[in-house]
Amino acid sequence: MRSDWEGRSRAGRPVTLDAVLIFLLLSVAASLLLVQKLASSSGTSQFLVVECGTAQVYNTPWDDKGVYTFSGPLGESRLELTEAGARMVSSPCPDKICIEMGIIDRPGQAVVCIPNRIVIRVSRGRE
Amino acid sequence: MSTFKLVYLAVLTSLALGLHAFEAYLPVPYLFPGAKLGLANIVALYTLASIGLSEALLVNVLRSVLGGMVSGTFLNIGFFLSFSGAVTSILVMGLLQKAARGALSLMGVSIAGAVTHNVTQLLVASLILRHAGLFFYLPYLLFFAIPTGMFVGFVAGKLKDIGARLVNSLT
Repeated sequence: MRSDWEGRSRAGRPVTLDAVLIFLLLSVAASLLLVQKLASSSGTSQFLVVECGTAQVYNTPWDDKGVYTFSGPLGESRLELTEAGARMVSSPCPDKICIEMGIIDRPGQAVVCIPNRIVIRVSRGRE
Repeated sequence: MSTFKLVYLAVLTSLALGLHAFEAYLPVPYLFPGAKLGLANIVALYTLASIGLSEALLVNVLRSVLGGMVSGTFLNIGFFLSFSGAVTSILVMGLLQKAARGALSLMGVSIAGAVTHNVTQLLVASLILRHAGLFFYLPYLLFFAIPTGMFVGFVAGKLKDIGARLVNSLT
């Protein structure tokens, strides 16, 4: 029995559509990354924006280093803004994926906590 | 539905559920927050490749619902992400497999399923948050779908041959 996963179609032709699919994905991902890089490269003054649900709780200049606390539906989350960037340091969510997301420091980047409905992002200029 | 098929689908569903629960204990190498291998999708893809689309959809939907109940996340946000991804990825994989008529290997089908799964979860998460900020992660998710999709597709392909022999010896 000749199966599809061996990389051959039923007619015995090597599968090329797989390669096309992978190439397509890689190029889409690479161009999206490139766009993000280009969009975030210009060095204007940036702001730290924290949103909970649809409400904006913080919109502060990047130079205001310190610890920020805010509440979502699950409870209190805390973020730390240092020279290295902003990161979530504590969160009441079950998986702590937001804390794992690590540090952000360039416009367009975001740390998101879905359970607690929090979005922390870096914006270029005050919105 | 024959008794054999009923039992077969029940066994597949419990296998998928077992893998779904097992994955939560699996220490995934830290590559990307929230990233998973998608072990349960091996069973879903196997069902799709060896039985059919509606059966695979059934197995994956049951797995997602039961998985939510077992892990205590039923009707949580995590459940909706898992459920929506489970449904759309099976539908896309099934349609793609039909449309490609063998020009796409199971690995290719699986990669497309992984991408669909990730994009669906991103869309649903963005809807829940009412925020498009999450799409920042799209390129990373696209990259990540390639190795995980290949892995799932490879294992499902191997199992398809073993399963075919097993089923033949049983019936």
